Amino acid sequence: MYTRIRKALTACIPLLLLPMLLSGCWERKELNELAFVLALGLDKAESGYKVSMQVVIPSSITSQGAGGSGAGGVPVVTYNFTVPTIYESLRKFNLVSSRSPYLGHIRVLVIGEELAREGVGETLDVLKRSREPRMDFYVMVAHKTTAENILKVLTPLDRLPANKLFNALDKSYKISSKTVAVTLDKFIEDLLYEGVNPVLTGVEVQGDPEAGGEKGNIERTSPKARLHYDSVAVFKKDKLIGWMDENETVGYNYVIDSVTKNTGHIKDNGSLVIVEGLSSTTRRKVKIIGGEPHIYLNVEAVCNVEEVEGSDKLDTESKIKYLEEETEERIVARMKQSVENMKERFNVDIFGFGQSIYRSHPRVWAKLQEQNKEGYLQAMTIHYDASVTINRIGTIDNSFLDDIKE
Amino acid sequence: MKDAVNGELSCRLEDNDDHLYKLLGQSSDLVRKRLQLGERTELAIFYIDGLIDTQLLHNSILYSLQEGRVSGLLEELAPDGKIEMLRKRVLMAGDLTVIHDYKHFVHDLLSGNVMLMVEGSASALRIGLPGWEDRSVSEPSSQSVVRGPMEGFTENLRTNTALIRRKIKDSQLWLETIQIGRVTQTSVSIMYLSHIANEELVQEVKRRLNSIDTDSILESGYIEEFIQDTAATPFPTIYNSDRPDTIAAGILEGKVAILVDGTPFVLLAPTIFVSFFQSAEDYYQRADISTLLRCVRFLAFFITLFAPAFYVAITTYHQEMIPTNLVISLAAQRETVPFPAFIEALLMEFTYEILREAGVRIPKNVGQAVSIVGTLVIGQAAVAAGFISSAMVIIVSITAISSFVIPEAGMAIAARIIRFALIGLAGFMGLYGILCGVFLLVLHLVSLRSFGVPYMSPIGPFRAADLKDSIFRLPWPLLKTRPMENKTQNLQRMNTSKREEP
Repeated sequence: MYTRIRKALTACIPLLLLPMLLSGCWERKELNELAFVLALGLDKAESGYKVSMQVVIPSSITSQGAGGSGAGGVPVVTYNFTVPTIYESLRKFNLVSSRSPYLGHIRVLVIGEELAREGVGETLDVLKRSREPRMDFYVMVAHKTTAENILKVLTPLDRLPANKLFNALDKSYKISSKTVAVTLDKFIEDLLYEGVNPVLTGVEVQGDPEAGGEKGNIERTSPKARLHYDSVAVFKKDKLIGWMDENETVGYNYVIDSVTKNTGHIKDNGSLVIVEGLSSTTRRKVKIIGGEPHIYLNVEAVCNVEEVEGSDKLDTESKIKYLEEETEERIVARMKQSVENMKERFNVDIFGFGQSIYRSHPRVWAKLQEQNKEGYLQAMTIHYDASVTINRIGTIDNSFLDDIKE
Repeated sequence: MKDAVNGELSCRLEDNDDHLYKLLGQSSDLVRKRLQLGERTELAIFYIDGLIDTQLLHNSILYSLQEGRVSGLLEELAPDGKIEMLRKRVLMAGDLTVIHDYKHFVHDLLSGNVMLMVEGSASALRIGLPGWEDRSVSEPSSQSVVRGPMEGFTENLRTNTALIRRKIKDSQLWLETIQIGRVTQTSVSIMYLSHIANEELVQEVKRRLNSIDTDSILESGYIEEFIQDTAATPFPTIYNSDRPDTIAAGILEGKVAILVDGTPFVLLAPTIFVSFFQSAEDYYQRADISTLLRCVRFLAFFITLFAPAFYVAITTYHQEMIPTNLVISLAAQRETVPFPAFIEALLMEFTYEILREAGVRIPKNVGQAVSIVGTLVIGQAAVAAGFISSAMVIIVSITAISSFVIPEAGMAIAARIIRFALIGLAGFMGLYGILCGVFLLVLHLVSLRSFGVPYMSPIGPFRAADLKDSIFRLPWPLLKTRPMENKTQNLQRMNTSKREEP
């Protein structure tokens, strides 16, 4: 009897596995049934949003595409929807397209300036909540224009405009430090943390956006419209309140320790010496002196001399020392300028000083919040320091200009 | 009829002759010769044409018998005495034995011996003169190497044992032979080093061989299936090779070789998973490159198992895992493909299996034409016609090529079977399905045993010391001990005392 029951139970075990099969093929999607949204644009509409989606046309990208249109056609198509909520646009998508939108490959999210000024907090919820998009795409703000216009423009070298936006931001951030590359994750983090405010790079259209949407735009040596990163948007929490220029951005990047490469020039006896930073680290220390927080910023940079305009002689050690000191001063000046301008113009702590205090001395931070919630940045003392090592001066010591004169 | 085989030989030549003739169904290749030597000696010679060396029979046996003095020597003796006399003083060639019963008589006759009988004696003289057309020792076909011996086993059992003996000249290399197969009476030999191989292992091999009860053994595959630990697995649990050096190396590690007459493939037991990824060449070339090549083989094994399944899973379930540019290019390729990726993968894999199976059977002179059709159909036309995507062709090709990297065909075949199951799981549940498959596969692998040895050792039960010759191959001076999993009587391969520095 016992064995019979056991046998019956054993026979039931495979039955327990069967319901697993019911979940099979869930969310199965073939590649040719998907519309890959590479760039998403969000603008303000009279009621709700205007959502633009830049969707790639796969067959026009690869030469091998069996579709027949080959590499001739337009590489992307842009869809615009005026909807009360962003999610609604994904459902409206199929009214105009045969394929369903797929957000897993978004490269860039462009937010229109108008919307950014009103606040983007609620808007981003859908992207964070959805399980489709990866959180590693860059977020940017359309400067003096709408996101819709940005997504219209075709780009010649990178046939996918979204790719161009992504890679250009990535490269410019690493090579010049004149932009900030902020992923959606980072942006939301900065929104949530105390004592820090987010920044986003601004992108603008140079030229006529309507002409940029035509195929002719990529058939000219100087396109009628180009996408261009120019300045960086400063947010007070989720609302855009103003713009930083290039120099302020470089200073900002030095302060938050995200400079990889940056170029600057030093005047010396009337000739310009261009020094490029190769790697730089900024150490930040918080000290409480007399109950007041002091921030110590210490930049260590390794630089190369890249260009000398004039007959400056670089063959003595004292000269190199001098250049190093000048460079140090310049870096300090940049940071200072950036911080001072922020204090003056926006009174917004985008550098995360507050957060540093919060992390190292939470009680001081709590006190600071009580006493001076809005103006703590103004009251804070910041000490700047930099130490620069010049590694190389290139393949020639002295400029050849002297030789020409003789 | 059975009684007739088991009975004793008769004294009368006439009876024996008739009996034998009837027993063999009057087969036309049975040769019966009658000789009259002098007045009082009548002889009969029986043999099967084609199984003996006729040249030697004529030149040596018959010539000796015809000599004048022979009839004189035999004249006065009793029939049994005559046989003794022939054995001791007349016939010199061949292996001579006297036998008395029918069973042995018939068996020896059919094994390529000449049987000689004398009128009036109930015994026969067996003269071993085997000589048939044999394939000579040639390059092994299945596991070829760049560096290393180029001789392979043949179909002849004696040649094969000799090939092993030539590699291991040790009195402890023991050889035992039994006959298996009630009808075929195939000789099966086991060879092992008595001072190294585990005694229980040898007993177990013998026990399993002796318990085989079948009518025929035509190839070592029969033996393999009879003695393997379990049939419920796609993985081979007994190693086979037609390379004498591989088999000799196995014997030296304490394994038992099983040689079967009539096939060049010799079995080696016990065996473990990693040994299927080791080529004889690993031990002949430098250790560093051997280790690298072993890693390549493991990688190839994983590719041949997982490549199509992985492709199906990530293109239908996990598109976000593919780099953006690649996913666009893949989407472009799939633009006109009418089937889901899962069906596409199955279609291509089956096409490949068909081509491969056809390739084995196609006559050589048509083969080229068919292979051109095959490559064109699979490679180009199918893609151009929008039938399948070119990425799938790449996947199937790399899968097919990878399967040939594995040195032993048995393991590659296992991978072929499992691959289809994994494609099914991938098409059904994506990466989650593949993971389930891997989970079951690992569970299955660690549960396997080959003659009591855990199949996944030295990884399954982890033994750090045995890793030296598994995934890695350390230089020979460091391989001081034999692998522990064979439970050898003597672990030391070489003197462990410190080497003299030059």
